[in-house]
Formats: sequence, C-alpha cells, structure tokens
Amino acid sequence: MKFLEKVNFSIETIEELQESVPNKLQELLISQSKLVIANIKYLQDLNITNIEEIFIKFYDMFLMDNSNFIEVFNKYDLEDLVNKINQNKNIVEYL
Amino acid sequence: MENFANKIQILNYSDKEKMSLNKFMTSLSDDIVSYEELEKIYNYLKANGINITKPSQNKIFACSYDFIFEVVEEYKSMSLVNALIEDPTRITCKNSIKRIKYFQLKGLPLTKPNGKFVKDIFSKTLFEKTYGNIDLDSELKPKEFDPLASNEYKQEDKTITNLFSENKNLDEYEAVINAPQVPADDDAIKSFDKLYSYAEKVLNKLYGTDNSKVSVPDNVCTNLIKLTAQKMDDEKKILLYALTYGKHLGEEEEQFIKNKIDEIFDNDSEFGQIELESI
Repeated sequence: MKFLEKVNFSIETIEELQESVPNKLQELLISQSKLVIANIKYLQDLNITNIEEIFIKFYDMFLMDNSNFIEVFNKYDLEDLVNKINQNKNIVEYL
Repeated sequence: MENFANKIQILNYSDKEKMSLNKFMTSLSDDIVSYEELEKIYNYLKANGINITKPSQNKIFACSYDFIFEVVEEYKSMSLVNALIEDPTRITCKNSIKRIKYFQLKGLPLTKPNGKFVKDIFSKTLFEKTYGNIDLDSELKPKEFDPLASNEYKQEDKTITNLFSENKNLDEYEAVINAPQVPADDDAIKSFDKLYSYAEKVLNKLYGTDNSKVSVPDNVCTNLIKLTAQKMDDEKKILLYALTYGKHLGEEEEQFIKNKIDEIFDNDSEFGQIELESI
C-alpha cells in the first residue's frame, strides 16, 4: 500500500490500511494502483480535505472505473457537496 | 461470467441501500468471493446476529470464511460479539482483538456512556494517538515470574534507614520500591508467593471476566519482590503499594483496590480459622 505515499497519505493511514484491509483487496488495490491514485487525485482536485478518512472507510469504492467514480460526484452541485463531505465523510456512501 | 445477481439476492439489501451498491461491487466479484463462500459467510454471520445491511460492508466478503469464523468466535469467547453487530466491518481487523485484550488488562472501559464501543479499539491510529506505540504482543504475553531469578537484580545491601536518607520525600514503602532490590531469602519468597496470588485475585476481581484472566503485570511483580525481600511488615500495605504505586489512580479506584485487598485478606483469615477449627 506504499503507493499511497504518492498522493501524500500519511504513514499512519497506510499502516492502518495494511492492518485492516483484507489481503485480497490489498492485492487488488496494489495491482490497480494507477486507477486508485486517479480516483484519489480527483477528490484532491475537488478540495476534499478528509480523503484519508474516506479511503479508510470506503477503500473498495476507489476500485471503480475512473469515469464511473467521477460520475458519482458530478451528479451534485460540487461546491455544496464538497462542503458536506468535508463535514461528514459518511455521506459518500449514499451518493 | 460474474455471478452478481445471485449474490445480491442473498444479501437482500433494502431498496434504499441498493442505490449505493454500484460503488461497492468489487468486493462481490468472483475474484474476491465465490457465490458459495459468500452464502456460507452470510449465513454464519446472520446466525450470530451480525447482519450485513449496507453495500459498504461488502468488503467483509473479501475475508475467507475461516478468517471470519476465527475472529467471530474470539469475540464470542470475550462476550463482545455486540462490537461486530454494531459494525460488522470490524471483522476485517484481527488486531482489534489485541487492543480489546489490552483494554481489559489495563481495566480501561470498552464502551462509552452511550453504550457504543470506543473507537480507539478499532483503529490503530486512534489507539496509538492515545496510548502510544505499544508492543501489544509482549504486553499481552502471559507473565511468568520466578522470585529466585529476581536475585539477579542489582544486589545491594541497603537498610531501610539508608533508603530513607536517599529518598526523603517518600514513605518507607515508596522508598523500597524506588531502591534496588535486596536479595530475597526463603521467608521473603514464601511471602511473595502468597501476595502474588492475592495480587492475581485482586486484579481478576477488578478486571477479569469468566473468559479472560488478567495476569499480574511485570512492574507489580517487581514492586512485590522488592517489598517482600525488604521484609516490610504490613502485608496489606505491601499489596496495595505493589498494585497502585506509580499508576496515577484516582482516589476512588485506589479505595476500590483497598476494599478488594481487605476482602481477600478477610476471606483468607476466615478460611484459616475454619481449617484450624477442623483440626
């Protein structure tokens, strides 16, 4: 999961993920690291500030195809959505 | 061909939850879990009251049935399956069990006043923020203590008077704890054995459960051997100091330990009386 350092994830977050993500999904996240990074970068570009927390909770979601991933967020008014997500990461589940 | 439809049928999500299913489909792919394995896991969890109600919980199925079985049985043995009912995704992290055991060992509350489990248990980051980077494996290793071996401690023949002159702000028990250990003779070892078993009883009365026994921590052992080797006269006081010194306990908690010590000594003397009478 070291590839997450490329998107500035902290060592603590990476260790937390290594401890809690099932092996099969860790392997998949690593093998699909380019896709995962593209999805993370999309959220970074939106100025979402709690991406690491979102990733810890919904890491499997970051394996979505990048265009589908973007579509999940693009359905909404982005400024409003980003504010809401920054206040409460859990709403990502219901987008 | 992927077997999503049948898997989704087993999971039986509500219509509202199905709306978010597309985001969490990867964990249901055949590369991750077969239909048979998913059904087996789902039914086992359900039988234990653990219901998968949200697609974001699909990640559980990336764990093997054996892994899940082992984790759930461990929680059951600690009577803490509620923690998994509260959030089934906690199953994916085996290390949380070590943190729970650490909490139990230290007598820390596992739940908040609202009945929910404290998050520190289920997150390495949160745990380490509060308690530091603790080697849980060595902390939780059953402690064995050989009082004879403790003679290997630095052996300086210090009298209590000497200790006092070096530690003027401490009472005599504290002074002994803060000094190097003196050699333990046979009487001291006997006294240590007795008080060690009492310490074990006190700790288990306070923090133990039917399924999880608390062992005496190293520092308590060290305090005990120092105090018994120095032949301090009040056994209750030895036990109290051994258990509480340097622990920064509140008045209430210290009083609670004091009461347990009294209780154990009272029971012991009653037992001795009965034995004498029967003779």
